[in-house]
Amino acid sequence: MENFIRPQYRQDYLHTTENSFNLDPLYLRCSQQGNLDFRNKLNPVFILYTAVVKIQRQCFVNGENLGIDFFMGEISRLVRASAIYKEPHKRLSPPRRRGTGMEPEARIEEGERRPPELMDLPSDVLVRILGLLDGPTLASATSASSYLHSLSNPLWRELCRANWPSTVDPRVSSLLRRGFHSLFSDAFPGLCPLHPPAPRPTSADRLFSAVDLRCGGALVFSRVVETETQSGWFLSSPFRIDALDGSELPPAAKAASPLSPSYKSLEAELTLSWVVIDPAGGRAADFSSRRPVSVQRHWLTGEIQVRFAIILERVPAGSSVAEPVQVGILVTCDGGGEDEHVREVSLQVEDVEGMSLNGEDTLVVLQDVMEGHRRKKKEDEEEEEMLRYMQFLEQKRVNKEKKMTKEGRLDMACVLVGLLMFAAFCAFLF
Amino acid sequence: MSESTEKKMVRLRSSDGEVFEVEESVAKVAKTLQDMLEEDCADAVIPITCVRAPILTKVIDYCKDQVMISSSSSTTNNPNERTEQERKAWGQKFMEGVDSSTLCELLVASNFLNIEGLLNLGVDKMVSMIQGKYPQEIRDMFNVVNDFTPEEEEEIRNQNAWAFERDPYYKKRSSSK
Repeated sequence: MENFIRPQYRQDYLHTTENSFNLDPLYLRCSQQGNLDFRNKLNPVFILYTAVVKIQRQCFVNGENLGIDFFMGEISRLVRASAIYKEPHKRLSPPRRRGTGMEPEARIEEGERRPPELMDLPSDVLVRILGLLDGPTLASATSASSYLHSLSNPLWRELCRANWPSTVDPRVSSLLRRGFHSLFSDAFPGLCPLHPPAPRPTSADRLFSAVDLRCGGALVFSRVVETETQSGWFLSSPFRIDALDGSELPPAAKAASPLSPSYKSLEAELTLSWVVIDPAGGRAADFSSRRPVSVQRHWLTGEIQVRFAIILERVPAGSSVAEPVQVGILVTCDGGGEDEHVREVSLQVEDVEGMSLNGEDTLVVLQDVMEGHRRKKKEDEEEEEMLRYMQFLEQKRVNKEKKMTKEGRLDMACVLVGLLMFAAFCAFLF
Repeated sequence: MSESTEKKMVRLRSSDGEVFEVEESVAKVAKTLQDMLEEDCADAVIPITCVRAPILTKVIDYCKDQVMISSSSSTTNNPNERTEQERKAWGQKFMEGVDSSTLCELLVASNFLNIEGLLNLGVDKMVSMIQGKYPQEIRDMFNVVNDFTPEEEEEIRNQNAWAFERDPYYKKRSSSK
């Protein structure tokens, strides 16, 4: 029975079986035997029937190829349930009891049926419970046993969709070779800016960005963008992905509190996620800082520029010292009036000199991070991000000053040489 | 729905043979029993084979409370008899001190009897019990058997490594390697 839910078998079923069950023969058999009566709720045929109906409903609602997983779980439950029902005193597999095993043992001795435990709950109840957990807890719960693990696939998908509504896009599910669980554990945890250089994977020919912009909980903008990354033009020109350019009908981002200056309240309310998916490597990562690092009004055009940024590190070619790079996402909104309209959303990567990285260098940075380590987000994550961003700005300023003084000196030297030459020329003449 | 016609009693028998007598309106909170009673196929005593007496007592407590709310709101024409907050507090109090195995039994019972409200309460309670726990803690708490092979477990561990960074059990294992 346990074999039903072993992953290797499950995988086979996932690939070979289609999700079309014909209900009619089963229904017919149930009704012929009079088993559809609700008093026979514990009749195995009835349970099987309800399981199939449930799965069909799920398949229709979500329209995706994940039902069979759920089905196998349901079948194994059915087998277990009917065995317990027939032989109430016999336990199927004596659970390894830890801690104080006294209480459950005592109950068995009373001659009663074994009291239900978490694993004996009907799968729809279990799915409801698991569906309400947050990401890290769902990861623990589904690591507890293979049965819980077998239920988890659709739940990861729901969790991804709740976090990044743009992943509803059918392109995303076709991209993910390792499913939504892998997407979630790649994109949800914090990225590590420092990591040992990994062997370079084959470079991706396409990148997908799932972008979601929210304002005070309401979704403003949600889109999946495809970027082609093989052409020479892409590799040598400055890297830039536009999720939205000015040519389209702009979505409105309404600031919720009209009393405060609207563009200031945007800082508190806007959140952005930018999940980059690399279909070739099968990895993904969220490159947004979630909250804006700065909100400014452009002095001339009056546009509001909201900047999201995270600081990563890269080792430039021919050097062994890591230097910071900034992955910056700029959201430009129309200023004035009560509604802000989002005009542009774009991602660029720049180094500490303030220069944009070209496509080739950017791909290396992005792929290194995607392959790199993940860690659990801390509570003060945002402050830390902000601190790193400030340090980056400071370093950029220092570098600029250095460059200025260096250039200043060079200028002075040029002027001096010029003067000397002039003086020498004059001396020669007279 | 006056008081005089509302006196019809229903008898329920739990799995361990104890018989409970409740008003029909109380029993009808459970959709399964409501269907049975409405189609008139209930015998003198309705056997509820998967629910033990202590659990059935708790379920009946819940149903009685539901009947009380609905009758008080219909007579006084005040649907806001109990605000959302009060309902939440009541639910918390109802579930207070319920241990994990009782909770599982309650969930099975409310699922079988089809009592949506009680099922929601139980699910919420279960979620609050599981929230923030690590795999081994969940196994210990609910007697869940770890039936992964070591290789499978390692693979799942690696995939969820970010979530288990502070898991003491995980640390112990990885340091002993």
